[in-house]
This record gives sequence, C-alpha cells and structure tokens, in this order.
Amino acid sequence: MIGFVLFAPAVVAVLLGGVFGRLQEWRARVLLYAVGAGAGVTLFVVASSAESWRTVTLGPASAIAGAAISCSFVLAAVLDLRTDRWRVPTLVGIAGTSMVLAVSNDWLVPGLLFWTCSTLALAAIGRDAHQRASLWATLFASDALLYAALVGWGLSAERWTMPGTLEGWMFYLALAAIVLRSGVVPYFGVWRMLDSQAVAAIPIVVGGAFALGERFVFGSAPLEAAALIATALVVALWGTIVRNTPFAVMGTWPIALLLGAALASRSAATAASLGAVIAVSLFALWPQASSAAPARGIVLAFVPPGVGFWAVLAAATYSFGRIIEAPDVLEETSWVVVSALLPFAVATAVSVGARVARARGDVSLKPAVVASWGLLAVSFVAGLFPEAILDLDEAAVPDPSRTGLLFGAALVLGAAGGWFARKRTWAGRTPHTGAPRNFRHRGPTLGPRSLLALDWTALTLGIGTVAAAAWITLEGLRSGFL
Amino acid sequence: MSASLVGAAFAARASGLLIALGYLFGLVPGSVVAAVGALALATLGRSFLQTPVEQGFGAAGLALIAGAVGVATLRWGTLELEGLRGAQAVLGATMLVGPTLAAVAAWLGAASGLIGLGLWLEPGRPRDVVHWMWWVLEAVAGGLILGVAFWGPAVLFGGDDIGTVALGLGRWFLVALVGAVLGAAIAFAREHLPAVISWVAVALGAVAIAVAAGLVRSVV
Repeated sequence: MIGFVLFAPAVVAVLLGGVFGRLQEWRARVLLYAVGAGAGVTLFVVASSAESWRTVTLGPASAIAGAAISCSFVLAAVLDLRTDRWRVPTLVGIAGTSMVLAVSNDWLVPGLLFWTCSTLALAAIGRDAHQRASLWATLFASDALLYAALVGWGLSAERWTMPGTLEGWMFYLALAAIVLRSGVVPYFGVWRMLDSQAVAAIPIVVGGAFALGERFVFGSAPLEAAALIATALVVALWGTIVRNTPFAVMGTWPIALLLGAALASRSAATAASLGAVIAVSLFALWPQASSAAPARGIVLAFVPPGVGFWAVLAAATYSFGRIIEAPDVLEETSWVVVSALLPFAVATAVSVGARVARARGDVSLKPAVVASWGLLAVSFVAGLFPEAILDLDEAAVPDPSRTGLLFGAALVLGAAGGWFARKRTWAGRTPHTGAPRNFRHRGPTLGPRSLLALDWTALTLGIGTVAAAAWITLEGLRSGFL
Repeated sequence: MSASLVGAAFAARASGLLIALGYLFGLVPGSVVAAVGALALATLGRSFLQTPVEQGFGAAGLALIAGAVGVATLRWGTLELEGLRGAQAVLGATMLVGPTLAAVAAWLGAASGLIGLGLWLEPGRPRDVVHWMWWVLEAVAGGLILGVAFWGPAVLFGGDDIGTVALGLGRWFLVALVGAVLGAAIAFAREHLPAVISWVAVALGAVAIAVAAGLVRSVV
C-alpha cells in the first residue's frame, strides 16, 4: 500500500506522458490529475503512521512532500499551461515521487540519488522559464550545498544512514541550501518559474526545501530564525509601501516568515511547511485568478484559523518558554529578539493581507479562482484540527476540541454573515474605493553577460552535483553500505 | 469594490471578534497570542475596506496592543490567559503588585496598550447604527484584552453560584468599559489631530513597551 502511494505520482506522470497525446476524453484527464493530487493527500494522511517500505520510512517530511505534490497537480490541472499540458504534469509526477523517496529515505546514497532525480526533473520543467539560468543556477547551487553538508556528515560520522538534525558547519550549509531553494532570495530560483509553464512545479520546489528543513535543520535556532523573520518584515514593508512590487519580491514574505517560525520551533514545522506550500500555490494561481484576491489576502495575513497562524503561534509559544527558562543572558536575548519580532510580524501581515486582497489583475479564469478559494478552505480546515493535522503540542493548543469548535462556529457564522452582507454596507463603513496598488507580475530582466555567467555556473554546478551523487554511490557500493 | 471583498470583510471581522471574545471570556483556554491573532483577523476584515493610511494605523495599533500584553506575560511568566487570570486572582492586578519596577513597567505597558487601542479603533465618531455596533464590539474586545493582562480578575465562569458569576461578569464589564472608553477617547481625538501626531504616539508606545519589557526582565 505504501509503495503504491509513494509511486502513484510517478505512475500518473507516465500515464499522462504516455497517453495524453491520444487522450481527448476530458474525464480521463480529470481522473489522472485527481489520482495525482489524491496520492499527495493520502501521503500527507498516512505519513503519521511512520510505516516503512524498503529504505523509506514515512514521517513529517513525507507529509510535507505529499502536500506539495498535491498542490502541484492541482496547479497543473487548473492553470492554462497552453502547449505544456502533458510535459509539465509528467515531470511534476516524477519530481514529486523522487522528492518523497529522497526526504523519507533512511539511507544517504539512495536519498541523494532520488534528490538528484528530483532536481533534474525540476530543471527540465524549467526549460522554458524566463531567464532559466537563474532557476538552474539556484537549484544546482542549493544541491551542491546540501550534498556538501550530507556527505560531510557521512564521512565525518563514518555512517551511511541519513543524519538527524545537523550541527555546526553542516547545519549552516544545509540551511543555506534550504534558503536558496525555498525562494527566500527575491527574483532568483523558484520565482523565475512564475513567468512560464513551469509554474505548476513551484509547490514541489518550495515543499522540498521545507521537507529538507524538517529532517535536518528545523527547531531551536533563534538567531537564524530572527534573521529570517526580520527579512520577511523588510519585504512586507517594501510590499506595503512601494507600488507595483513584483511577485518575485512579495513571494518571499510568507517563505521567510514561515521558515523563521519553523527554525525557531520544531513544533511549528508542519504548519509552517503546509502554510508555505499553500501560499506559493496561491502566488502561482494569482495571474489567472484575479478575482480571488480576498482568498490570497487572508492566507498571506496569517490570521486564524489558517495554518500560517498556527505556525506563528507555535513559534511564539516556544520562544516565550525559552526566554523564561534561558540559562544565560545570551540565549535569553536571542529568544527575546524572536519574541519581539513576532508581534510586528502579526501586525505587518495584516497590512500585507489587506493590500493583496485589494489588488486586481486582468484575468479571472474560473478553475484558477475556484482553486484559490479551495486552497483557503484547505488552510482553514487544517487549522480547525491543529493537534491532529498540524502536529501542534499542548503548549500551543491546550484544548484542541474546544478551540476547533470555537473557530468552526466563528467561521460558519462569519461566512454566513459575509454571504448576506456582500452587497450591503454591513461591513460597517463605506468601502474605500481608491485605486488599489497592484503588484507586478514580471521582475527585472538580467543582462546577457549575467545570464551567460549564470548559465556556466548552472552547468558547472549541475555536472558537479551529478558527479558527486555518482561518486558517493560508488563509494557506498564499494564499502557495502546496505 | 467587489462584492466578494465586502463579504470577506464582514466574515473576517465577525469571525475575528467572535474568536477573540471566546478566548477573552474564558470559554476556550488558550494563549494571548491566539487572542491577538483573532484581533488580527478582525483588523484584516476592516482593512479590506480602508485606505492604506488607515490600514497602517490599524496594524500599528494592533502591534502596540500585542506588545503591551507581552509585558504582562513576561511579568507573570506565562502566555496562557488562564495563567494571567490565575496569577492576578491570587496576587492582585498586574499594575498594583510589586516590586515597584515591575508595577511601573505594567503602567507603562497599559498606557502603551491604550494608545494602541486608540489607534486600532477606527478614528472619529461612528456614523450609523451598523458602524456603532462594530465600533463598540471592537472597543470592548480591545478593552478586555488589556483588562485581562493588566487588571484581570478571576476566571469569569469559574464560580459555583450565580452570585459569583454575576460579580465576575460585572467586574469584567467594568474593566472592559474603562479600557474601551479610554481607547475611544483617543480614537475620537485622532479625527482632529494631524496624522504625524498619531505616528509619534506609535513610536512613543513602542519605546515604552521596550522599556517596560526591560524593566520586567530586570526584576522578575
């Protein structure tokens, strides 16, 4: 059963790739996309069972990967991918299955090999991305850092199993890899996918980064968490003050904030990862779902009961506890910084959410609009069960059943009221009708020399990472690692 | 202005206030972060229909309220609303209990919180019944969260007999009323003041919270 769930995205991909050209019946296509998305959801659900299958053991990282696969298949199904309606979903399925097998693996060599497959599939998806050199260079640079951290650990510990939470220089290499891959750096990497048919793969890239974080770096890193939350605040202030902020800048807001929350507290990891995957999926849908702006605004504001809110709450609760129990002034100060930044983040999130909710575009395709509201619903439903779905501990949610009941009742009453009030002035004031400050789809274009340099960098790093994976495999086989 | 935005504004505002009041009345146990998050949801709903400047004041006011409540949580070493109520039920209100520096910090925090409440509420006098309803509900929720943090009596529905519950209710409404009226006075005054004074108040409130947090950590 587990094997089927793990390989379902790849099987769907093969079916899509193999028969799509002759398949005109839309029901069959919908079925394939539904199976792909359903496999991701199933993986998310069964991940808590911690079952093993060959070298793979399911865990929280598998759940994050499952959520990312599901979102990617939804994007592939609803977005207008024009000529790429078979190539992108096929590669999404292959990249997704490879990612799950990598982040759930107990062994270093197969884990790195599957990760390499995933990256190559993502690079192939990004073939037509606007200025793809930036995407490729970022993906391969991230992989190079990750391989250095993991192989370094394997050689120093003389073990062939996957490490737990990394420490020292290996921690920082892995963190740098995650920061690069997840899209914390504006314009670069994953944000180049926004301009192309590769947009459907964005959740897999970001989800993969968070899944890596769950395995190797998340939890109890206050200074690094503070740096990321501060970065998020700077981006948010930029986005709320400057007109026509590019998506490729604004998108770093949810990623940096949620990565910071997960770095502060391991209990925030699942909520932060799910929140990040949903947020980037909404960014991917944005150009084709103009009228779903309120759904985007609510998700990006990190308000209850959305999953992003629970990530912030878990981080705040944990960092407050560490302040109280800190053994020395240095540690106390670092946790104080995290705790002091989070209220600002909550307030800034409201401004970001309000601005995003009022932004308008030109295109509103029904499937993309429905998917956007659906993602908001998923975020809320997951937030109604913070202990069961998001793995939050008792410190963050003392009474999950009563909390879920209160949130559920408030949502139902609020939504019912909103439905009746939507054409009246019951919202309490005459709406402000000034022109909303919109966001810009495309970021700046790099010059030909920069692109050439990035192309060569990507090529060198790509060959280097594949060679490193091959070398560690041969080394492992020679010493009989299994 | 799209119908979906107006509907979402109502839904977010109503849901946020319901959740906040649920936490603040003690119907659901939880941390002050959850209550502040609920106020953020209400703020978001209101912000959908506001100008960018009004949105900015709402967010800044919310940050000041959150920071002020944070001072009280540092004072008692707990984020839980039950913990705050319980500590004050036994030892006395945060603003009245020594050491002196901790009490001074509590007064600074409460003052910053009231400034925050005044900035968080919509400026000026409400224009119609619906506007008044939202305004009063938000003022009460804001007053309650400051009351729980700085002048919090025992758990509201913790009594065995109706008299205890009625007394608890009365004290809570009094606390909320005082907080709401003071915040409302600031909000009314803002209509007649230039925006720069409000921003100066935000900066002063932030400095006061930082000083208060430092004082609390130095003595507790």
